[in-house]
Amino acid sequence: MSALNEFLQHVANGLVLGFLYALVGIGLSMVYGILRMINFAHGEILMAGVYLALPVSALGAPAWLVLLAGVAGATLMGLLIQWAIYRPLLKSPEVTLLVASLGVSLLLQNLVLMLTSPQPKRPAPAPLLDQPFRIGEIVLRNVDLAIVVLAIAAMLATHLFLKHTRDGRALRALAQDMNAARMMGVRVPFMVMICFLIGSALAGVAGVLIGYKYGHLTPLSGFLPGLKGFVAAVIGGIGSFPGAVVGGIILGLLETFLVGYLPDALAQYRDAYVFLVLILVLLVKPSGLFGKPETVKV
Amino acid sequence: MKRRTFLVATTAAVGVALLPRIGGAADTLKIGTIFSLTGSYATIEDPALKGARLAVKQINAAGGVKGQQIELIQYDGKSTLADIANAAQRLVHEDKVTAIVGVCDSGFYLASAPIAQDAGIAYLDVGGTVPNLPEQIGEYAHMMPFGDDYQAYVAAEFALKDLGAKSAFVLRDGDTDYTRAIAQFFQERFQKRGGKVIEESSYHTGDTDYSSHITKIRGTSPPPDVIYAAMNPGDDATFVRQAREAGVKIPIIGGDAFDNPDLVKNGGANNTVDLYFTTHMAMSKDNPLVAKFIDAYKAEYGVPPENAFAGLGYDSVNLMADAMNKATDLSSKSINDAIFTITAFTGVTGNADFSNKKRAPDKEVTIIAVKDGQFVPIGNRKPTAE
Amino acid sequence: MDRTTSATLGAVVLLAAAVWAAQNALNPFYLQILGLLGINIIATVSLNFAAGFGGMFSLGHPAFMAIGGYAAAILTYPADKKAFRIPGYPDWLLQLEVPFLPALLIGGVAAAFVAILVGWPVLRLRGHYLAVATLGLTVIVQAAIVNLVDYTRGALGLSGIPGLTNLWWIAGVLVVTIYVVHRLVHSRFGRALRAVRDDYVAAQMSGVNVARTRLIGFTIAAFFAGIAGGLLGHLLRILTPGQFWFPAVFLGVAMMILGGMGSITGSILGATIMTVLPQFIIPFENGGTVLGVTVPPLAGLTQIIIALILIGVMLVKPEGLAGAKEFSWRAVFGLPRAGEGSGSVRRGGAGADV
Repeated sequence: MSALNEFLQHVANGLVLGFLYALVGIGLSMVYGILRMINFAHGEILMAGVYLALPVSALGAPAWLVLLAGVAGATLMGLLIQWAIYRPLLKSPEVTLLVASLGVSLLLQNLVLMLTSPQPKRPAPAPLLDQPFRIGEIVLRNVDLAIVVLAIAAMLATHLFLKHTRDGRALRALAQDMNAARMMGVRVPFMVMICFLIGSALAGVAGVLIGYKYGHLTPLSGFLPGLKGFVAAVIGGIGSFPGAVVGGIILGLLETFLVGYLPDALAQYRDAYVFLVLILVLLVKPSGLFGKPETVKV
Repeated sequence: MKRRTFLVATTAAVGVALLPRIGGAADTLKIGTIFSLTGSYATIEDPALKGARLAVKQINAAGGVKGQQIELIQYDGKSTLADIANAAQRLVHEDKVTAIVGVCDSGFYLASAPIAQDAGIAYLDVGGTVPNLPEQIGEYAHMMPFGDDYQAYVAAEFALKDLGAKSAFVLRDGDTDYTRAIAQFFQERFQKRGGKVIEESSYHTGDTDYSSHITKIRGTSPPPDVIYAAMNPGDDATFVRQAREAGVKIPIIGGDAFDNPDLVKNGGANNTVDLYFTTHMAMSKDNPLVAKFIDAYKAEYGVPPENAFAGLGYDSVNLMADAMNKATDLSSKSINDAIFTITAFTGVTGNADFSNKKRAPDKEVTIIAVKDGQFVPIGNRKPTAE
Repeated sequence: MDRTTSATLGAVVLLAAAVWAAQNALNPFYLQILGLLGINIIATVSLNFAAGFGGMFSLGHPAFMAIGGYAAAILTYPADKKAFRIPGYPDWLLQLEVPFLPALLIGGVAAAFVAILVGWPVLRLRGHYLAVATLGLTVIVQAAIVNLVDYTRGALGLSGIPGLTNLWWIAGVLVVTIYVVHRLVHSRFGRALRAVRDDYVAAQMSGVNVARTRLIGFTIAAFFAGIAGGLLGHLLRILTPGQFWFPAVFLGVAMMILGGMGSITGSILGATIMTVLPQFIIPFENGGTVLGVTVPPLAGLTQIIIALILIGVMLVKPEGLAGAKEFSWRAVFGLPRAGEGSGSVRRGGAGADV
C-alpha cells in the first residue's frame, strides 16, 4: 500500500471517527450553551439509547428501524433526566448541575448493568452495513458511509432548525442571554426540553452507529464517547454548534494520525497529547476555535 | 451547627462500629471469593464467579467436603483496589473463611493477597497471569492459570515452527499489564528463536477502532508473516473483523482472550479465518470433562461459558475442595499444606501439578485454530526450555 | 486558655484515646476502613481548600495523590527489590531507603512542585475551563504512570510497598491537616483566597495578587493531596494507576460536594458518609433475607445508592449537608459569638471571620 494511500486511508478513518465525535459533541455543546452545565451523563444517554434499541434489533428489525429505536430511547432518557433532575436545578450554581450529572452517569451505568449483564452485546448483524466500500485502495464499510451521511444530515437538520425556526432562534437567544430571552417571552423550561431533545437524539444516532460499527457494547460503553465528545466540544468552542462539528473532526483526525504516524513508544501517550492540545487551546484561545469570547479567564 | 446535631453526629459515629451482617449458616465450610461484578473487570470476573458457584453447587450436591457443605461468601471487588482490599479484609477477619479464591487480575491479586498471607489463609488466584505471582506474596499464595510467559512463548514458537513466520507485527492494549506482558514475552521468544518483530503498536483499553493500526499493517512493506494480537476479552472479534474487512489476510495469533464462544459470531464467519489463539483448554466438546462443564453451565445459567475465566473459576473451587479433602484437618494451614500434595489435578482448564515450590501450576498451553466457524484444537504444548 | 482551645485539645486527646482503643480492640478489617476514612478526609479537605475556599474547581486531585503516593513509595521501597521492580532510576536512588515521614513529606512536595508547574499557566482559567484543564492533568499523569513501566511498574502497579503506616500516623496527619487548613482559612491569606473566589475584580482592586494567591492555594491543596496519596500507598501496600483514574475524580468531587464546599466540617462529613456507608450496604449486595423479604444478589447496589444520594442531595440541599457552616465549639457550648447574642452559628464560608 503506497504511502499516499496509507495517508488517505488515515484521513478517511479519521473523518469517520470525527463525525461520530461530532455527533456526541453537539449535544454536549448545546446543553452547555444554555444551561452552562457539563452533562457528564451524556455518554450514558448514548449507551442507554442503544441498549434500548437492542431488543428491537433482536426481533429482526432492519437497521434503520433499530436506528429510530435508538434515537427514541436516547431521547426519552434525555428528556426524563432533564425533567426529573436538571430542570429543577436550573437556577442552581454550575457545580450542582455538574455533580448531579456525575450522579446520573453512575446511576445509569449500574442500572443498565443490573438490568442486563456485564457481557458485551451487539445489535444483530446488518449485512448491508457490513459490506466493504472501496475508493481505490481506501477501504471502509457501508456503516462508515452511513455514519458520515447521517452525521451530516443530522447536523444540517439541526442547523436549519436553529437558524430558521422560531424555536431554534429562541434556543440561540437563550444561549446568548437567558434573562433577556426570558423577558422577550421565551419559555425557558420548554426550550431546555427542546435542547435536551436534540442533543439526546443526536447521541442516540451516534450510539446505534457505534453499535453497528464496532459490535461491542457494555454498560461502560458510553464513557469514552462522552469524554471524546466533550473534548471535541471544548476544542471547537463549547456552546458552539459548528465548533462541536469542527472540534470532532479535528479530534478524530488527530487521534488517527497520532497512532498512525508516531512510533509506538510515543503513540502510547495518545490521550495525553489530546488533552495537552486541549489545555493549549484553552490557554491560547479559551473559547475554542468557534466559541464566543466569554469570561474564561481570571 | 446546633448542639442537637452535634449529639446526633456523635451517636452516629458510635454506630459505625455496628456493621451488620446477613446470613451465614453455621457448620459450613466457608470459602471466600472476590470477583468484580461491576466496573471494567466485570466482563472477565462475572463468569469466573459463575463457574465458581457452579462448582460449589456440584460439590455440595455430591455431599460436600468431609461431610460439610461449602458456603461461598462473595464480595464485589468493584474493579477498585480499595474495595478489593476491603473485601479481602472482610473475608479474613469478619467472615473468617478458611480459604479464598478470587480475582482475575494480577494487580488485584497483589493488593489482596498480602492480607490473606498475613493471616495464613490460602488464596488461589483465578485469572491473574503474571509469572511468579505467588512468589511475590508468600507460601499461602497460589495461582491457577499458567503465566503470561508460558502462553506467549508457546505462541511465538507456534508462529515460527508451524506457520513458518519470519516476521511479526504486534498489536497490544498498552493500558493493561496482561497484554503488555504477553506482547513482551512473545517478542522476546520470537526474536530469540530467529524471528524479526517489525513493529509493536499500542491501543488504549476501550478503543474499539483499530483502523489506524490496520492501516499501518497494510502499509508495512514487505507485509509481516503473522500478527500477534495481545488483547483483552471483547476486543478480539472486533479487531479480527476490522482487519479482514480491510483486506488484511495475514494470519492472526491471539491469547486466551480470544477464547470465547462469541468470537466467530461477532467476528463474522468469513473473517475468522487464519486465526489461532492460545488458551487454557479448548472449550470443545471433544473432551468429556469440558463437555460436561459446558452443559452444566448452560443448564445453570442459560448460556455457555462466556470465556476461559468461567472454567478457571470452576477449576479453582474444585482445586480448593480437593485440597480440603486431602487435608488432615480443616484448619487454614492444613488446607494450604494439602495444596502442595496435589500432583494430578484434572480440570476444564487443563491438568496441573501443584507440587512445585513456585505455587504456580505446571500446565500445558492449548493452541486452537478457528476453522469453518469451529474451534479446532491443534495441540497442547509447553514452551521449550530457554 | 479559653474554652474553645481547651475543648479542641480535649477533642484531640479523645481522638488519640479512640485510636489507641481501636488499635487494640478492632480487627484489621475495621482498622483498614478507618485508615481509608482518614485518608479520604485528608484528600477531601485538601480538595475543598482549593475548590471550596479557593473557588478553583479542580478535577486533577487524583493526579496529585498519585504523584505524592508514588514518590513516597519509591523512596521507602526496599532497596533489594527496587532494582528489580523499578529499574529505571539512577543507582543512588535504587539503593536509597528513606524513612516514612521524610518520604511522605517529599511526596507532598513533589505534588506541590507539579502543582506550581501546572497551576502557573492553567489557573488563569475559570470555572468549567479550569475543571477541564485539570482533568487533563489526571489523564496525562495516568498515561505517564502506565507507560513509564521502568519507573512505576506500569499498569500492574507497584506492589510490595512496606506497610509503614497505621491508624496513628493517619490520625496524626489528619489532625495536622485540619489544623493547618483551618488556620490558613482564617488567616489573612485565607481571607484573600476567599475574596478572590467571590469577586476577583474587587479583590484585585483591594490589592490582592490574584494569580499568586490562587497558585499558593492550589499548591497547598496539592501538597496535602500528595500526603494523602503517600498514606494510601503505604496503607494498602500497593499503588496502581487505576486508583487515580476517573472513579477517583468522581469520588473526590462527590465527597466534597456532599459535605458542602467551603466547609471543613462538611468535608469530614462527606468523606465519612461515602467511606462508611458502602460498608453497610455491601452485605446486602449478596442477597439474603431482610425483614422477611428475600432479596436477590444485586451487584452494583452500592453504586446505585451512592448515585441516588448524590442526586438527592443536589436536588434537596445543593449546598451540601453542612453547607458553608463549620463546626464550632461556641455553638455546642452555647457561647455567644463575639459581639452577638448566644447560641448562634459561626459561618466558615464566605465573608465571616473569627
